Amino acid sequence: MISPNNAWKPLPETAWNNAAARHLASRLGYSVNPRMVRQIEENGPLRTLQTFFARIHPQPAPEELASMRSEVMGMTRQMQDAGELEKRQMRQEIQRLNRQAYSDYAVDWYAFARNPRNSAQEKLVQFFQDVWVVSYQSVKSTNQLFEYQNTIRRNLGKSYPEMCKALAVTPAMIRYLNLDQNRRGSPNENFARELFELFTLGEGNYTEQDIKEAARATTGYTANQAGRVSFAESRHDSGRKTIFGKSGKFNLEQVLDLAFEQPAAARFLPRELAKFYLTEENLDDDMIQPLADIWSASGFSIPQLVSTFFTSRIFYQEAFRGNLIKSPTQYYLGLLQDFNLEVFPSARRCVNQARTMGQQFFNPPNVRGWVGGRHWINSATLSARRSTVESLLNPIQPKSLNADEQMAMERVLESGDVNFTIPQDQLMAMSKVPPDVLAKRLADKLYANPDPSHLQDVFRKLEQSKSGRSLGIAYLTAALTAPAYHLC
Amino acid sequence: MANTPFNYPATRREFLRQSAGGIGMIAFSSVAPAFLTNSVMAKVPSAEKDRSILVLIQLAGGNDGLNTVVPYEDDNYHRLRPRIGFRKNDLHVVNDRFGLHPECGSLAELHRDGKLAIVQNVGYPNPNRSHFRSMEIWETGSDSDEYLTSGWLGRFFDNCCSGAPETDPVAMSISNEMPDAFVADGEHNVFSLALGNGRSRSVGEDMLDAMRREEKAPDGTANFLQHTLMNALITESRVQERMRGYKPMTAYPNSALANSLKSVAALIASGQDTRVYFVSLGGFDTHANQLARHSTLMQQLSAAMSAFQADIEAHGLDDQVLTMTFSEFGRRPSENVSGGTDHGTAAPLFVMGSKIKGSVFGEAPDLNVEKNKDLTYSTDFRSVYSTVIRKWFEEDPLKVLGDSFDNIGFI
Repeated sequence: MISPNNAWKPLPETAWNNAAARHLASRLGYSVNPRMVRQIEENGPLRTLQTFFARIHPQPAPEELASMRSEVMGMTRQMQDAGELEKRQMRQEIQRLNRQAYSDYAVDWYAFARNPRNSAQEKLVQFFQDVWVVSYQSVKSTNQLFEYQNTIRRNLGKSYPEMCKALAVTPAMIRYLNLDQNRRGSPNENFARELFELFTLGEGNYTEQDIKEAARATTGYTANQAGRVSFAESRHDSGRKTIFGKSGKFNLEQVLDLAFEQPAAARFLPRELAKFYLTEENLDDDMIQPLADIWSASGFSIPQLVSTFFTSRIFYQEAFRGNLIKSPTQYYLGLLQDFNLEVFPSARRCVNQARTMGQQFFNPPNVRGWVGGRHWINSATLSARRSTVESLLNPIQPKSLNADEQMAMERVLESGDVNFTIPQDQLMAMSKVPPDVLAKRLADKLYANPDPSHLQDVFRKLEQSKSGRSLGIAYLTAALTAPAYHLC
Repeated sequence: MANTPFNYPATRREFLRQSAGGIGMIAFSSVAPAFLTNSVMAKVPSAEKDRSILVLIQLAGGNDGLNTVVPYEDDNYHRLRPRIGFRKNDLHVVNDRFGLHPECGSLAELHRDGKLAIVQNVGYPNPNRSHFRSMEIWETGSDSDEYLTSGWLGRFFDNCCSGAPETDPVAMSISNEMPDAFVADGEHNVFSLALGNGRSRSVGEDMLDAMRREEKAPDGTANFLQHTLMNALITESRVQERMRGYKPMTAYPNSALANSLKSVAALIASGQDTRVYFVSLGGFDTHANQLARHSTLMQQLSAAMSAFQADIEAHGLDDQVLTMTFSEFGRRPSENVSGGTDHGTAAPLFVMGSKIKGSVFGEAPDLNVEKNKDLTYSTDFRSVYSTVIRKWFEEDPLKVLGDSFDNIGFI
């Protein structure tokens, strides 16, 4: 293993090659498209990062969300003078509208992230969503989730403390961690605890007393029905607090400033980053420390952290290549990218498929977020991954679609020459390629580790028992459900 | 299994018997399937499973309940459906008020024999008319304004089927998708399989063969993946063998649903320890010109269900099997201008089996509704689930449904 002193130095140019570029592609985005890998190889790691993150692309607001917003606003106004029964009906209606908009938002997001231009950015957004966790199940407002994700996006080019300050007072977070129930005289510690434990410092780097005092300091925020956040002096505890040994009349922003003065803060996010992008196993503090130093010296700049990380020697170590298990999101979006397919515009397909594979859109099970890694894989989720593959290999039967799905599909089809499933002539064509050649070609196109030997063994067997289209289907089913395709 | 070069044991017991022979060594290799290594280490044979099996048939798209179980004596029915309504002599009369769809002759026969229960007007409060959301409500067993991440069957597995890793899948879907109803908090051997042509070897079997031949096992994460994948493929290959070697004792019609149910029969007949099977028939979203389309679907449903029941009976296994249909919603009582029906609310469902009481349950829908208004449900769908869990699986439904629901007398 590389020494901590050398780990975070830039990879020497002599070590940069096609395999390194492939590794970067598979970690930064969702697939290892050979053309993109060649492009990355030409550009080198630093310029690649600059191109991917130079400009932040905002996700356009889903149509349904805009129309829902005005409807909900109208109802919220009416609710003030409504009777109890009416109020309840309106609340239910608001929830129903939100749920519908959530599905549309999910479909739109998959399509947005599937665009290779946005993939690296959106994967990074997912990373931050996995640190600063909120979930649909608790927040129940699609608009607030959308705004929350936008807040992450808007802050990608800034410092982490800035991002934290912005996220802390979003309506989604205020509701998710009960900050609105945290008032002078009756503190709710939920937010303060997770802020230290899961967002900035990690366990063991604060005392119970720090949490109690931080809870007092973060009192005063409310979010109304419409999701507007306000700060009420009358609810805020303006007394003196002692946090991390310092005393003062601290408020929320100052609590965050105090947290980032702690040495643990400089190690926290780099460690999370390594877990998300590099290896399931924890890196030692010794290994993380030099990166922590570089990062804190930059004022906790997110672009600095990202570029140091992805251009470092340790990132390209052999031991870390092709050893991460793809999340369901990466598996699904990677499949679509690998075969140039569009997201099928129906919740039944993409939202449900992601859920049965174990990762429901914007809805992690708890505040720790997705555990990930090996936890993505068990017999049920593997089976679901395979069903997803099968759904892309067989043409869509219009007869089995619901009317709204047919309409949505036609709308996308109108926009040009697009495919939702792998064209049957491609499958036929594959069946005519010698198995060894095809296996090599596919391993190169699909796998983080392009060694084709395993696939060649399987393909030779398949060729003996099948032919034509069903051989093509068999080749791809094998290639896309093999262990190599679950790795990135 | 005669022509596979390498026989995997079907059960842990069988494995323990065989392990003195050549197969023993793979149990200790780094890529041995988990159930093999686990059972060797624990040296416990699997407990005999209860053999109460549920087969779920999903009618996707929203089945038109009023043209499935037709209230032919109700003037309102004819008022609401002047073009697509059926008259008494079109139907298979069930009693003095209802008849089954003209294509449901075989189901009517099952009903006469006391093997088909009809549960009327099943739905839930504050119905949602989105396909996606309403199917989610049915599959998760939630309230209309409640959002659950696990399925009702997933919670059943969590509460009632935990313990040692099962050799056979606890639940199997024979369709293109893994149903939401199976999503659980815990880990269970749950499996989905799209049917191939049934003749040639499956891709999975060839993959398994190739993996088995590999001389050096991969390490790290790849090893873990290979290990889990092999487990899944072994299950699949056993399942494929059972389906391939199957000789049904009655003729099945030629339809996708019939093929799926034939496979279910094969697996049940093989003694596979699976508690729940899931199959799906799509195309029920009949907004326009529904008569022909709905007839085809009813014909497929009726013929496939009755062939399945007859086959299971011929095997003498009918005491162990309960079959049930469900759909995300029924359709609007009034027909639309295109000769179809739009999304509605409550609808009847069928429960089939030799051990059930084959009559009509629940209150019929009140059709005294204005044009374009919907039915009000009279039986909560979770009452149906609750009955199945308590009376069929003999477990406590409260743990699964989180609330108490009335029993329906069909078991």
